[in-house]
Formats: sequence, C-alpha cells, structure tokens
Amino acid sequence: MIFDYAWLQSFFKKKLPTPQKLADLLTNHGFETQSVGSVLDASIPPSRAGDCLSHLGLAREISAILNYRLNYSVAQKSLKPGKFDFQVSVIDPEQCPRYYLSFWSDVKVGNGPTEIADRLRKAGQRPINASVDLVNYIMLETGQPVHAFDADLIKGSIEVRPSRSGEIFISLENKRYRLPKDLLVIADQAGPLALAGVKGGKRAEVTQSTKNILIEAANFDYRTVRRTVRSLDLRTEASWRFENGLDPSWVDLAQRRIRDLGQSILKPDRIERVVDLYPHPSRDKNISFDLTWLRERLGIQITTKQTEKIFQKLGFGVQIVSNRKLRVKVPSWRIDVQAPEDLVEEVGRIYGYSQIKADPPRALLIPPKVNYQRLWQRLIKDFLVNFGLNETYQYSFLSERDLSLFGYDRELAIELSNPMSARYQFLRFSLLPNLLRAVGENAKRFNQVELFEMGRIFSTPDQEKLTLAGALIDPPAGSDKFYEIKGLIESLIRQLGITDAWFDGYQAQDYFGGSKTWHPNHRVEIKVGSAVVGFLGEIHPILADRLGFSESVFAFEIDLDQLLKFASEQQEYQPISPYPAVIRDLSVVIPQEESLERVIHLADLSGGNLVRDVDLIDVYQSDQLDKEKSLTLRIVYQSNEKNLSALEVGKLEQKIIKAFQQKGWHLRQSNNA
Amino acid sequence: MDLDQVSKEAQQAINKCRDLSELEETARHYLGKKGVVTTAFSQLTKLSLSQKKSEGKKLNQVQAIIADQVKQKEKDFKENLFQSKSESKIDISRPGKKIKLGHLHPLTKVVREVEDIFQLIGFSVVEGPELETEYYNFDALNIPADHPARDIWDTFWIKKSKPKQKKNLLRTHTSPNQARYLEKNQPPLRIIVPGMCYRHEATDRTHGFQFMQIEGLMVDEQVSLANFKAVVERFSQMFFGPDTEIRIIPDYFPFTEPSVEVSMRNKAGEWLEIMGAGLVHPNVFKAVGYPPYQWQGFAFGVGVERLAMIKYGLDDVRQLYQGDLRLIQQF
Repeated sequence: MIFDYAWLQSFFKKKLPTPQKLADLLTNHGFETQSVGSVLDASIPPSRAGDCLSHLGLAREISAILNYRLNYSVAQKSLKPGKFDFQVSVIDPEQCPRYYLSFWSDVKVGNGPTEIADRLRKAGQRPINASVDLVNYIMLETGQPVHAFDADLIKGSIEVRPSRSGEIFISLENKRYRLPKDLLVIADQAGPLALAGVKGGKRAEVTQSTKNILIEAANFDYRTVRRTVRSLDLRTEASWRFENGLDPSWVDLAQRRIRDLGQSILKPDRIERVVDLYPHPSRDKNISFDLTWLRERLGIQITTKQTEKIFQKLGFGVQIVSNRKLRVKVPSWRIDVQAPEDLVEEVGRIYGYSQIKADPPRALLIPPKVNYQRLWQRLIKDFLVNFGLNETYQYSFLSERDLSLFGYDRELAIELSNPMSARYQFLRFSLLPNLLRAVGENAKRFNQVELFEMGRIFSTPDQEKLTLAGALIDPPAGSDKFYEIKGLIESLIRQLGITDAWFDGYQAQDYFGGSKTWHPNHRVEIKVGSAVVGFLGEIHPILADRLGFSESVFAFEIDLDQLLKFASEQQEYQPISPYPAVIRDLSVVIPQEESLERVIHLADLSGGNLVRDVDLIDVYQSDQLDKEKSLTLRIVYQSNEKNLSALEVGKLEQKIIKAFQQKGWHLRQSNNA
Repeated sequence: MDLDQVSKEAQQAINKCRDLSELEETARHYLGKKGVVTTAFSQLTKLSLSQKKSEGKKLNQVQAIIADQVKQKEKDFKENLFQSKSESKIDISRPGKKIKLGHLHPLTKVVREVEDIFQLIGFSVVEGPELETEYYNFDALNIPADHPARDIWDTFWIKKSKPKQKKNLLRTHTSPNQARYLEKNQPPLRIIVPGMCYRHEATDRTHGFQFMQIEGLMVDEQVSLANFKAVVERFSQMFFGPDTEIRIIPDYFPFTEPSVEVSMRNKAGEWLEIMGAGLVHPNVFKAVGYPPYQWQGFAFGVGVERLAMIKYGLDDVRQLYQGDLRLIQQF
C-alpha cells in the first residue's frame, strides 16, 4: 500500500526519521518498504491486512518501533437512532457480521477540501467529489471501507442478501455484471445496489445534486468477499481489505471518524443512526504468556519491562501476573494474534531480529542418515559427466501434441486443470520429448550434442518415477553410436554394483509410446534379471524427422526407482592371481538373428570358473554369410592356484566348443595368441 | 687361428658398425654362442695341456678386449642417441588436445553444496513427492481451505479423472515434507529436502513457474531463533564466502511463527533474499499428532535458483531450464 509520509507524520508530535530511514525501519520490523519521494510503498503481509492497510495502522507500528507516542483521538459520543420508514435487514449474519448505516440529511456535495484531495492523490487515489473523497479518506486512514448511497434513489427496504442468478448489477463505472447465484449484495426492492465489500453501484450513486445520503460502514466475511472477487474477477481497494479478514470493531472507529470529518465537509443538517446490526460483537482475547518461554524461543534476555512496553505500544493490554507470567489482552482487531507463539513474533520483530545474537544449537551428536538413493543419483550424474555428457533440467510439462508425437496413451497422462498454456497441459510422461528438443536447439550451434537429465515423470494414477534419460547426436552419424551408448549404460550399471543386467532385443516389449519413440530394430530393453528398467537405442526416424533432425539421434531412458532397487555398494576384492593368464581366440558362425550377448554368456558359462573373461573382438558379416554371422571371441583363462597347461586350456576350450556345437553353431578357425 | 688377426678384424668390424643393432650383430659374431671366440674356446680341447694353457690365456685376453671394445662402442652410440633425443624439439606453444568434458548443471552444483554443508552439521537428506495432496501442501501446514494465505501459493491443480477423487496438485514448496517426515520419524531430527516445485505464476527474470527449493527442518527440545541465526550464518559463510553478511527481517508464512526472511548483502551493498524461515508453528506439530509445545523447531526454505543467481551471477532463471550448452558448459 502507498502511504503519504506527511499523513503518517500527522499522528506524531515528534519528528519522524526521513522517509528513507523510516522505510528501512519498517522493513526491518515487519513491512518491506521503499521510499519514493514523499511517499512510502509498504508491502503489508496478508496476516496484517486486517489492521495495517491504513495510515493509522502503520502509524501504530511506527510508534512501537520508535517508541513514539501515537497522537490520535476521535469523537466518543455514539449516534442517536432516528426514525425511518424503511427496514434494513441482514439475511445471514455470518456473511455480514455487522451492518451500520447512518443517515445524513441535506448535505452539500461539492469539491472536497484540498488537504484531503492532496493526501488522496499522494496515496494513489483520484479525488472525485466531497462525498467520495470523504469515504475514501476514511478507508485509507482507518482501514475500514465505507460507502455512501444517495438516500433518495433507494427504493423501499434495504436487504443484505445473496444474489439471485441472473440479476443485473451496474457498477459505478457503468460496467454491467450478470450475477451468478449466492454472491452477497446490498439490495433494495429494485435489485442490487452494491456488491458487498467489493463495489458500489451506479443506481444510488452520490453526485453533486444529492441531498440526503446513507453512509454504510459494514463488515463482511472474508470468504464471502473472496467468492465475489473470484467469481467476477473484480478486485478493489475495499475487497483487498476484507479478503484477509477484518474485525467488525473497526466499524465503530470509522463511523465516529467520518462524523468528525464529515460535519465540516458535507455540512449535513443532521446525522442519525439507522441501524447497527451487530448480533455477535467480537471480543478482545486474553493470552497467558510465559516470559521464560519467550526468551527460550527467541534466544534473547529481554526484560519484563521491555516486553510490557512493546505490547503497550502495539495497543495490547498487559497485566503482570508473576515474574515469569504476563496476561496479555489482545484487541479484537489483531485477528492474526491468537496464541503465545504469535506474541513471541510481536516481541521479536519489534525488539529486532538484528539484535538477536547467533547461538549455535545444542543437540545430540546424531550423524545424518546416509541417503543411498541420493548417493546413487550423484554417482550416476558424475559418471555421465565424466563421459562427456552435459546435464540439463527441463520443464516437467508436455503438450497434447507431444502425446501423439511420442505415441503416448492420453488415458495414462496426468492432465492439469489450470495449465500455464496448452504447451504445458500435461505432466511429462517421459523425459525424452523436452530433452530431444533441447538437443535439437543445441544442434544449431554445436556438432556434438550429448545431454542427459534426471527427473521425475508422471502417469495415472498418481504415479511418479525418478527417471534418467540421455539423448545424443554426433554427426556424421556412425553406426557406432548405438554401441557407444550401450557400452556407456553397461558400465554405468556395473558402477552401481549391479551384475545381472542385460540387454534384450528379442522380445522387447512394446511399452507406452515405444513403437513411435524408438527405431523398431535399433533399440533394446535394459533388464536386470527379469525386470525391464529402461530402453536404449535410436530414435524412430519418423519422430527424428518430425523433431527436425536430419541426422540419427540416439537416446536412453531408465526408470531409476526400479534400477536403484538393485544397486549395491558392496564391493568384494578378488585376489590377483600370481599365475599367468592364457589367451585363446575362438571364431564361431552363428545364425543372423542370434544374440551376441547370449553367445558370450554361453562361452562364459560353459567354460567354467577358470574362464576369467570373454570379449567380443570381431563380428564379420559378409554377403556370402547371408543368413549367418561370424564372430571372434577372445577368451582369457586363468587359475589362482597354478599355471594352466596347454592341455588343461585345451580341455576347457573343448567344453565351450561343445556347447556351441550343441546349439548347431560351427567353428571357423581358431587363432591362438 | 691367428688370434691377433681375429682381434684386429673384430676391432675393425666394431668400428664400422653404424648403429646399435649392427653392433649387437658384430658382438654376436665374435662372442655369441656360435661366435668366433666361443668356437675357438671349444677347439681348445683338441690341444695339449701346455698349448691349452697358453692359447686359453690368449683367447681370454682377446675375448676381454673385444667385449671391452663392444662396451665402449655401445656407450658411444647411446651417448649420441641421448644427445640427439635431447636435442629434438616440439612446438610446446601449440594448444593441448581438446578433451571431451561433460558438465553438471549449475542447479545440481548448488544443491550438492547445500546438501554437503548441512550434512556436516547433522542434517539428513530426504526427498518427497512432486505430485502432492492438498492436505500435505496446505492443511497440514496451517493453511486450511479458505485461508487467505493460499493465494500466495498459486497452485497447479491436477484434473480429476473421477469427480469424487481427492484434489491433487503439484507441490508449491518443499514444506509438505516437514509434515511427511515428522509423521514418520521421532525427534530430535534434522533434515533437508531438495526438490522441484511449481507455482502458477507469471514468469520473469527472477521467477519461473518451475523452480527448485531446499527445505530445512530441525526439531529438538530447545530450539530458538538465535540457534537458527547461527546455523544460517554459518551456512551463508560456507556457501558464499567467509565475509558474507546476512540480515534477518520479519516475513509471513502460515507454518512458522515467528516467520523471517533471510537476505545476504551482495557486492553492490544490496540485500538479496535467500530464504524464508521461522520457528515451526505449533499447529504443524498438532497436525502430525505431537503433543502441543513439547517440541520446538526451526524450518527454512531456500530458493536454489536464487542461490545460483547470486553465486554465479546468472541474470535470468528461465535460462536454467533451456538446456542451452552455452550456459551449461560454463559450469
């Protein structure tokens, strides 16, 4: 809210600090404030909207911060009730806890006084006429919205009631609203006169020719006002003050103050009370407050006297019960102060958090729990970065178009009811769409782009999975990229202490989007045991083209929640054999569709314990071998107990050959190295 | 055999050698298993004892001479070789070969650093869901439905597939994990919770609708605001540098009371907000079923982008979600 510095000064006899200094003080004690010339722009937290969206409210804070005496008084006499030939009623006191109406006869509505117009202008409001300026001034001073009706334009009785569906309301600005059901309105026999707590209407507007006015100072429940604001998307100075909750006791101050000021401005013949409908007056609260507890919470040694003074300046009553207990009487308008912890905050912020001395906590020396999930995440990122990939974060949202582009089932995607835009309508079901786009963007500037992301993906019902994905281009696209990624993922998984991972290209299941996302033949499932943990391979050429790639794109996507279940940090030392290893190569011809991984696995298995390692060193694919492929395995034999003789190695080799032959595969030649 | 002749020939042959391999060849010719001198030794058996003695002595001398000459020649060769190797030149001014290097995202670097600092003082790192219930995001944090403060967290709501389904949302902060963790664990406890959060807000240079936050929570029998100040001061000095100055001013959050804002002073002397914090509101303890006022705590929420901006001088948070290599490769 914008505050006029001179207006704030008018509450004090003592000179206030400069606007800049005052702004800093307010910032340090609860209200972030900037000074701009002779005005202050203070942001009032929602919890304080009920008493600080007013010059009086902020002045009270200043008085507490500076320990200045607040100089403010209003007429104490209550207004005499008059006799009127119309009824005023409130249908639901819960929505309108208080309704106060006064009648001012024979007023002169000219231009308002310049002093008031000046202050209004400084506080950001346009002066209009004496009546409007007066009610606005009262609101900016006390925080209580006040409204004036032309009494002679009201037809019959006044009712505070819910709107009827389809009712028409025309605002002061001549804007027409067709109201839905159940918004709170002030209405006469002809319909709505005002939207309760939000906006006055055109029909009973006060103008220069108005003779008699009704001045309303009412209290409306914040839920009711918020409903109107939301439903009509109409936020006003008045609604702002009601929306966070306002205490009905402010009505007293406002109606007294408006009489003080209004007498000389509108020069009414007489002022009478029409009604003050206030069935359940709000009450001050008494809170028992333990000073030891206060000191412990803030970690300061504040005296009883200091504490008492702070409360008094804030308008609270204090009674000292014992040397450690106070009884604090909190005025009803401090709706944010309900419990002892709220009082701790009041003392703390006025005392000043900058005055609190840092004091390290004393606690049991309990070491933090090791979060293995987090450690694995770190290991994985470091691993990929060490191999030259770059980490990214992408938005967690996708569009409807992404669903169809990547072949995702709409039923499985989680949709937002209020997305930022159509582009961000769904929660991402895969990391790949945005990651591939980022690769595409970078490809405009870099020849080699290798990105990865670790993040959550989502699918119905309420599923959330930590996922790892990478996407790479490396033109000119060589067929090696596939194997590079495969090798990368293989090593990554091994780093996680997972030994039974393998790649399955044969029965690769079609998971969501699989058929549109991946190249039908250049992709594999990543498996641990029998569980599918992810996919790797080439992006489908059609999809790559749609995403604007002219080259082949390679990617992987791994369900980390799933994979990390198998991760283990246990590492066991294998003794280093003092005996030399014997290396033999073996070439075998196998059917075209046979999995190389299975051949290697079979060699390893059938050779027994003394086979230390099996490596694929060559795959030969000739036109003659059109239904077959030839491969060469390098097999390492080694014992921990003795030198292996040529005879022993030969026996082991025969076992492997036999296993191959049982599969119907034949040997080509054997080179001994 | 004329041993003098052999010795002379050998000397000539050795002198003629042009490199080490020729020298080896020559040495082998005379001194090898089947070499001239070795063969001569084997012939000695055919001689009489006295001849054996004199010829043998001579042969030994010749063998020693040749060996000595080979050794000398070898030394010469090696010296020359070392000389020429030492004299060879490369262009040491040429730039080193480019090594392919990957880079961690700056947000990851910030989160790791924060995690490491807090783990040093006994905070465990835990994680929670991004897809959150209305209860944990709001109700359990003293923000009931209709509470005006709900407006501060403009929320992305999940479309219900069935009308009766409970309302889910994308968490607007990491604070739901205060309640989640307190429910399942027994104080005293200290945790930090890093994670992605979402708010339905217009974006600008310093705000994104998606951002990363780190929640902190310490609950013990006696925890004060002065304790929090000590922790956050130490954290700031470890994270930003030993001379870092911080400021604590009042703020408002429904789930802390009192609530504060922590700022650090940058080189230009401006205060930059780094976190919101406060003492845990008794209603949060109440929501997770703790007896009122038995436990005390402080909680804080740090904006990771904010820390990254201050630490690295980034000027637009939105850049952090573009995957632009020109940015990432600087880290």
